Amino acid sequence: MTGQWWSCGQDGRVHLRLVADEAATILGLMHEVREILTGAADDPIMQRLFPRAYLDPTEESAEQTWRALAGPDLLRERLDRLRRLAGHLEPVALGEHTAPLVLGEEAEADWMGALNDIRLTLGGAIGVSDDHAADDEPDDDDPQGPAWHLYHVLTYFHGELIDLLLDRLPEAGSDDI
Amino acid sequence: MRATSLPGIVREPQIDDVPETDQPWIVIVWNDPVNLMSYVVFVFQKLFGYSREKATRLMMQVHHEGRAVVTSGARHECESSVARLHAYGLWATLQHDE
Repeated sequence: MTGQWWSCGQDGRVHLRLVADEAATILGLMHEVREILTGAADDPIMQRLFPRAYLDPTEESAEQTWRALAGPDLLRERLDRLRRLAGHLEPVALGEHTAPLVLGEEAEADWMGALNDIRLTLGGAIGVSDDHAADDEPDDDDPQGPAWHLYHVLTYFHGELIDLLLDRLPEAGSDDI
Repeated sequence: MRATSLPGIVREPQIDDVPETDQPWIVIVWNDPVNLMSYVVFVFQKLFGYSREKATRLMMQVHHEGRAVVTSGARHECESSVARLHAYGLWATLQHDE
């Protein structure tokens, strides 16, 4: 199965073909996510990336305990995967690495999570909502037009990887709920 | 799932029995406009080992009804599941079973 960017190599591993400009664009977006992650906790995008576990106000104590334990690990995981991916992308963006990137299992998980963080961050910034759907075409004079276009491209980019990884998952499972 | 005793057989209480009064907790995943449907299916299969059919059914429930119960268990298990769902960027919460 071969898409525009992602494919399965003969070695069974996921391959990623990016030109330098594409790698540079993704690096820029990863930098923006990193800025949010290391910025104000009350930023709306931070609140989306680190939502509450308990909606019941009588469980506030459990919520705070859970946040104190799970929050730092989740933040560290998000930052670490961005850092790892940046390490792979920088040589591509600089034109030093032109062969496809070959992903190990950790890199697959890194890309899946990081691309979703990028889309959540970009989507939050441009106001993606159920009313303002992602498949609405922006007006020609919309100053956020380029950001919407980028969001669309990222959606295809992420979607291609998801479809490839879904293809490799078994149909059957352990349905025990 | 607790093992049920056969009728007429007295089961000695075990030291690590779950108390009868421990209500089960449920994990709910909420809809949001960014997450791709295919991504949600992937996460449900990857995290919970569900079949494609079940993962898709739960995803469609999130999509159409705004939320779906995706797993249940003890509080600490559900807290752990919520954290893992958040790491994938899904919006999940836990509460007492309805």
